[in-house]
Amino acid sequence: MTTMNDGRQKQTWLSALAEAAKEQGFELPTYDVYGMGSLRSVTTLGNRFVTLKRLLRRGKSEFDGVEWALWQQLDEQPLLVACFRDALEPKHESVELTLKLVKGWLVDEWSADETRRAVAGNPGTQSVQPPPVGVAVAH
Amino acid sequence: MLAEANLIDSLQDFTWFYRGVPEESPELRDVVENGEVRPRRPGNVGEYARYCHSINEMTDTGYTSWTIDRGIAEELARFASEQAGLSGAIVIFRVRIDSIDDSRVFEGLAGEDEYLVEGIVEGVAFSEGVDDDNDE
Repeated sequence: MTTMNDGRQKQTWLSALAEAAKEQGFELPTYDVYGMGSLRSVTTLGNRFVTLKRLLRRGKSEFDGVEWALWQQLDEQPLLVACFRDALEPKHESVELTLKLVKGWLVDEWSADETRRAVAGNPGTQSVQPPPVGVAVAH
Repeated sequence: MLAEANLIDSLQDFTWFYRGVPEESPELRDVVENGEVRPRRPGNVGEYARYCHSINEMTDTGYTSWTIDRGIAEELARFASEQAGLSGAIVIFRVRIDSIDDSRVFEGLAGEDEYLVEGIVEGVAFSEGVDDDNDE
C-alpha cells in the first residue's frame, strides 16, 4: 500500500466556516468524510444535515468548486431541500454567505421553504433536480 | 444520468475502477483484511438511493462511488482529507471492471466519470500508480 501526501496547507471551507461561527459565538456540527470527495455533517436533533462535495471541471462539467446540499432526514428517508455552489477556495464574503445558510438550516432550523428562498438568493444557487416519481419532498 | 442501462460494454476500453479515500478511512481495514469495499447501508438500493447518492452525494446507500479516472480519485480523496483536517495522505483502491456483474453498475456523475456499484465490491486492491496498473 502506498499513500500519497503533497503536504499542501491551505484554508478549507470547513475550517473557514468553523472559525467564522466561533467569531459569531456559536458552533456548527462536525463533519465526517463520507464518500469519495464528499463530507457530511452529523445529523442534528432536528434531523438535518449538510453534505459538501467537490466538483471537478472535467468532461461535461464546467464547474470547478464545491457544492453544498441541505438535507432533512424524515422516517429514514433523506430529502434534499436545497443546494448551492461555491468556489473551491473560501473567500471572506462567500464564507459569510454560506455560513448564514448553513447556520439557518442546521442551527436556527429554518423551514424548508424559508431555506429554499434564502438559498435562491445566493449567487451559487442550483435548481434541485426532482427526485424520481412518487417520492415526497420536504415542505 | 441515472439510467439502469448495461454500462459494462461502454467500459471495455478500461480495466479498472478506482476509488480514493483518506489514509485514515475505516475502509482501509476491509480492503487490507478482505479485499472488500462495503457500502454504508447495503439495503438502501433503488432509484431514489441512486438519486441521493449520485446527484448530491448522500452516501447512506447500498452503493459506493468509483471512477475510471485515477486522477479524479486522487483529487477527490485529497479534498476530503484536507476538508476533514486529516493528514492529507490518501490511498487509491482499484477493482477490475470486468469482475463486477453488469446489473450492479450504474452511471453516476458524467463530469467525474463516476459509476455507482451496488453492494459489497470484492477483489479490491491498492493501486500503486498508473504505471503499475497499466502493467496488469
